[in-house]
Amino acid sequence: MICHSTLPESLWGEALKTTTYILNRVPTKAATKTPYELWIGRKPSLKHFHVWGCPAEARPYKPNEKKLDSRTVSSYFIGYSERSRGYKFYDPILKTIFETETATFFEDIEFGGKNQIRKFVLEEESVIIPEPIQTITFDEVSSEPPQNIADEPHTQDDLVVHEEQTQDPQQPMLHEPAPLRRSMRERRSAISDDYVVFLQENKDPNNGVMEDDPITIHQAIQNPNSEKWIEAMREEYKSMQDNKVWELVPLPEGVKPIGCKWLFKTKRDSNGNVERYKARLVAKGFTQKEGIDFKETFSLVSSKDSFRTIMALVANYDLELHQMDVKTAFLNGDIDETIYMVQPTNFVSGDPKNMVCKLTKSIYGLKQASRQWYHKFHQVILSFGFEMNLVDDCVYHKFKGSKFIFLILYVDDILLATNRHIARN
Amino acid sequence: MSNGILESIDFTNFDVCVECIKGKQTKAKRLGAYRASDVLELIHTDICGPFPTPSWNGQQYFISFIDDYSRYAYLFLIHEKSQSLDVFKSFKVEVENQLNKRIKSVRSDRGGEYYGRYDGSGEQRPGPFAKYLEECGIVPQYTMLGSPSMNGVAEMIRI
Repeated sequence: MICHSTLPESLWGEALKTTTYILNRVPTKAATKTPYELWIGRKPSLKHFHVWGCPAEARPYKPNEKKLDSRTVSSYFIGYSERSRGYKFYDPILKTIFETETATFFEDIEFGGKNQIRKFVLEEESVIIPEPIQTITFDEVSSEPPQNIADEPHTQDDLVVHEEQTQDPQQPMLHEPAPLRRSMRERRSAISDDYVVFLQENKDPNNGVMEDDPITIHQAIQNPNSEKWIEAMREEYKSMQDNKVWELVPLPEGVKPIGCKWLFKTKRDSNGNVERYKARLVAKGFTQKEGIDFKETFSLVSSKDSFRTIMALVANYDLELHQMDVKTAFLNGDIDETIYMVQPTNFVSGDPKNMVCKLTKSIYGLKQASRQWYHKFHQVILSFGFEMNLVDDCVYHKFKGSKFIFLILYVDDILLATNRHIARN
Repeated sequence: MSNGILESIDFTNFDVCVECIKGKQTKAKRLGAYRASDVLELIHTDICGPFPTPSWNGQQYFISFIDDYSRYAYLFLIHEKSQSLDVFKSFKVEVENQLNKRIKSVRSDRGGEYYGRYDGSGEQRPGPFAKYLEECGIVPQYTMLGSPSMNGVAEMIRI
């Protein structure tokens, strides 16, 4: 059936279902009546049969259809609806399957054309391989020198010189890969890589961060970039309110609120350009008293060994590896204790002396923030059906059939290793 | 012999020649198949796959259930063989409710998904599918090793 049509091979499942659908409704040598009749008890109808894979104009259910929209979609008939009266159609443009009852079938025309199948396959695969094209060009160029050598016999030393010479004129020809490769080579021969990397690492924080970032809120306001800092603070304040991190309450008697502080940091991209200005409100965790404001502060992280074990598994079984990090991770943790915090400077509403923030979520700077985040993550991930590793509590795994996924948690960094191609989470 | 020059040979007295059997035995002849007389009396089942191209939703296998009496076929696409038990459960509940009858027996090959996997001891241990059939009181029928022809009905679906 698939050969006869112009449809991609991945529709074999629909083809099979249609086959059984038809076979159940036509007489068989093995039984006296049609299977359908013996099974259901009445004669099957064959009126609605159509040629599998034939082109059709089908009208899908579109509630938002406009007056001038085309009523139908050019598609292919690929089967019968299982639980309702209708047909299944395959839309070759959107590559989707939909069901509808209203359609016109074009069964009389010739639609066998193998060429179109090949086109489908090519389309799908050509998307995946942009990289090898570069290496191919490289190979083509590098295949030239051996021909020259074959013409004039050289000694070993000459050969090397010859190759180096031929590479020089190549450089303007190859745009991206050639200069990269050359720089690697030179560096290896001159100074070891480690040294260069170390220098670069040291350079960035010294020149970048120390210069600009204000330490106190007053410095931020007097800073030449004060507008951006204030904007960043507004953003942070707004996100805290959106997440309902605290509620404003009058300060109960005999309670000392803990302090809070603004932190400022410029975020730079890999080239050292300023990417964004970031302000973060932190609680002064050091004013917390043990037993009153916090009880436990211990938080687990995955060990280096388990990380290396997973990496070994990834390498051995060629698993898919994905890395994520959680934004404002600590704000997700719920806190068990009642903690009052003074309102952040410059964002005071009501009477600053009487009104304080009663924290409902954990916030950066609290002693138990990391622990609470871990607990929250633990609960959520278990509810997704993951299981904790027996040895390392920060490694989770989930098995379903032959598919499996490993998850390593390191505070707010998450590493996923799976043998499925796409990890959907 | 007829002229009495040679003595007549008595053919009745020969022993069974084991060597001949060793060298010449072919497969045993199949006995006539028994046909069920009512729906759900016997269900044939088979798994086919994996196919090189995954189907629309990524399934690579299909499992078929065919009623012996009516030859009515059910077909499910599955991602992996281990899903066969879940699919069978839902199939069983549906057909038994619809037809008000119970599945009496299930015929399958000895694939790992039906019977169980071979372990090191050389014996095939019953897997979850076989155990479930036992729980429901359904008689499992397995083909003999190396003879797919005994499961003819189910393999037929491989068109």
